[in-house]
Amino acid sequence: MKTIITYIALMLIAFSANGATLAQQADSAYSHERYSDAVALYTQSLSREGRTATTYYNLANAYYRANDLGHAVINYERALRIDPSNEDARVNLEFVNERIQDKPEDDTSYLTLLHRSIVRFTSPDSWACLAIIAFMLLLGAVALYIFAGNVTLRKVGFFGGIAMLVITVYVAVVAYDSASAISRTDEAVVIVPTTMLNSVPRAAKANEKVVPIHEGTKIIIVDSIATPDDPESPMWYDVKINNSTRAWVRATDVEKI
Amino acid sequence: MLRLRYILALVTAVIAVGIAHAEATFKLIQPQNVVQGRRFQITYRLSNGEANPPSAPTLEGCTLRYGPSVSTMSSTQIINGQVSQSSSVDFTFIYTADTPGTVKVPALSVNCGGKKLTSGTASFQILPADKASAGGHGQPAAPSVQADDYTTQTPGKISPNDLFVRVSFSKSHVYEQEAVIATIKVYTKYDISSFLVTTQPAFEGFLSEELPVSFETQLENYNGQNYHTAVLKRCLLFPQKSGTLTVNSGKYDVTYVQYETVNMGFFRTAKPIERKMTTSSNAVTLRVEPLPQPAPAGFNGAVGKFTVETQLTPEQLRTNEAATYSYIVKGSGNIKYLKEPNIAFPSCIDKYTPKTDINANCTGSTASGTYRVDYTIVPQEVGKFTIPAEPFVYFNPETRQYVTLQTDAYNINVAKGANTSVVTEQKAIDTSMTDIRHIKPSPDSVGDDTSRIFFAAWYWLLWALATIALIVAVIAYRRHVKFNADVQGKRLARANREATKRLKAAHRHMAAHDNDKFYEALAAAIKGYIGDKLSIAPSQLIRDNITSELTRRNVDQATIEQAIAILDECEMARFTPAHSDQQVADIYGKAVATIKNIEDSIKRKG
Repeated sequence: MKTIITYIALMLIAFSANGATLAQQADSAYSHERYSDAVALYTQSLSREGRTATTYYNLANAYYRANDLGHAVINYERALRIDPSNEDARVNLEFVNERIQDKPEDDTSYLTLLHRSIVRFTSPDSWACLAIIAFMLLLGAVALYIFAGNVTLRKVGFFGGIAMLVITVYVAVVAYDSASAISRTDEAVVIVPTTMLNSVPRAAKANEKVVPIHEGTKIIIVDSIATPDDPESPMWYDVKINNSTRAWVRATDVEKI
Repeated sequence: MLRLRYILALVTAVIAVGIAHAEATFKLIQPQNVVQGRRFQITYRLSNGEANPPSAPTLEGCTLRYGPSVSTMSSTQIINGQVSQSSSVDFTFIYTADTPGTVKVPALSVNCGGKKLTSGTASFQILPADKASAGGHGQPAAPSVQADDYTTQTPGKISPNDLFVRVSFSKSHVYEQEAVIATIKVYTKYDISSFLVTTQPAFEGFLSEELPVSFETQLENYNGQNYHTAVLKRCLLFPQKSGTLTVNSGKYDVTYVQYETVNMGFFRTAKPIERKMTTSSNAVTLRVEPLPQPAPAGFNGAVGKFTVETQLTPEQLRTNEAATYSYIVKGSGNIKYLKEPNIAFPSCIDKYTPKTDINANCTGSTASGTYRVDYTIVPQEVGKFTIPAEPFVYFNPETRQYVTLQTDAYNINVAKGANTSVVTEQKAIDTSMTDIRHIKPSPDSVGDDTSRIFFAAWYWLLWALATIALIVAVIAYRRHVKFNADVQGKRLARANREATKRLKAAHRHMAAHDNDKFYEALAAAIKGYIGDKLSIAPSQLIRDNITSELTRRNVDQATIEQAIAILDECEMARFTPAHSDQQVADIYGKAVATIKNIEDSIKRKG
């Protein structure tokens, strides 16, 4: 008991003497090119000091410098989940994605891409504020329609109200997407140098066709299956690479974002 | 006759003038190796001079047999009118070789025209006589063929030991990239009339560099036998990989000459006969050791012994003016196969493809010379830059160590050049990303940033509150509008109610045939209605006011006139008592219709 107290006291002293948060110590380690130390400190900072987009972004940079592309991609994605409008994380993620081995065919529709680029226009809380502002304007338009004595003003209120209704619904959807990104659990990234896409949730036999995918590739988990008998992997994920490709992959070879 | 003599004299004079007087030299001609017991010659040659023969030199292990014998040779050449004359005197001494070993031939001096000339020295070997091939058991060994002595030859018979080709290395084991000389030599006891290479020995795994050879034959003792030898090929080899490298045997078609003894009756003579054979060289192996690992950073495969220097000319660099940066390696080793250094010039300096100049000679057992790389650089921007040092790392096989030579780093100050003002082509700034963006500084206080106001209860309460506020406002407005609507409605309702009440009273009087009261009530009904309806005080209810008020409210003219007419008739009727019931009923009907019309008109406008 006494030793624990001493230990905590020492830690507190060290902490106050240093005067820097774990994240700031990690910044300094990164600046001195001690990237593995920076990774450890940022990870500690995330668990003790709280999760922020900046810390995830910095952690991802440290992983990239330590040549761990898989974890770099995961942490850029996490930074973007907390703050989809984080431009640095998006730019660096695109840069790292250029360097990974796989480039799955992107068959996302144009409207989805447009929606995504709108979502990352500003932070989730700003979108929430915009949604409520749009709703206030909608109510204002309704009030104008109800209260105005003049026919022109009432017309403005009527059509403005319809427009504001559409806008409010869309902004609310964007605000929801932006805010709920943090709680998504269906995306994962390959963290081993190479893993195989199998057509069945078991190790491929000699004549079965398997497709290799490499570190850093993002996949979408559709389903999972527990295979306690399989000595190689106790669990398999049914994954989508894009809208047209489905396969099974070992759960131990990927990490959820 | 006199004339002829004159011409002859002239010609002689011209020739005498034209003769180039070469300088007198005295040298020893390199003697060949000799087999023990044989006779041999030592020759000293005096060129372009005359002297008394020198006395014979004493050679260790040799006996002087005869000498000196003098032979004179002279030649005159006329080429394009240029006359050159040369003469030489050979002083030859004949010895017998007694004991095997190395013999030094001393220098001799002669007095040539008052000038003392001294020859050089030389050395040669006396080779032991051929050992009889080991017969064993005390039996006389089979007579082996001796070079130079065709009486020992057996016609039509040749042993593989009598004529063969041998490849040898100057070292038995080397490091990777370390130079080694391979010599291909033919050993023979017979004369060779033709020699054809059908397959060359292949030096696989080596970079090879052919060395010049002199096609002189030499006597050499190999495995106890004396052979005539000639070097076919000498190569400087640089092993490119470690391990045991093998040189495959080459194949040669040889025509050699054998002498057959022919009996000519009284005497016997030897007749040369050409025979053909195919021989192949031995396959030799060379052990190549890998370079010690780990190699230091910057090691680029240089093995040998080197020095390095760099040069930068001119000293003052200007923008858009070419300068030369030279990287010069001097020394011996695999200098021809050095790799170009990768010099990290600043990005504001344009670098052109460097020019590599290798000047190397194969001397002795390795190649030595200069390896020079000239970089033409053109500074593009004014400012201070650094051309970093590019250390040269090589492996020294003698000391078995890596050596790192430092070069100078140049801190250059680029001045503005003359022709910088004209921008020939505007360049877009290269903005493509070459690395990830830098980290963002962490704030002093870090908190969890995962709660979203979108999912907060108070946020949705705001929505609800706003909605409720609107609903409350709408309800309040509705009630206010209803209240306003009631004030007028009441007045209208009262107007109708009063009118109805009075009309009913008038109807009652009509039924009672009380005409006076009837007309009075009818007039009051109309006046009361109009007064209430148009909010006109009873004192103001005069014809003009009524007409103007009704007109203002858009009541049509006929109705107004009718109302006025009814009011007039009511006034008149009070003074004209006799009225039929029919008349009374008519006027009552008109009054009801008029009130209805006015009501309709006002409502319509309302």
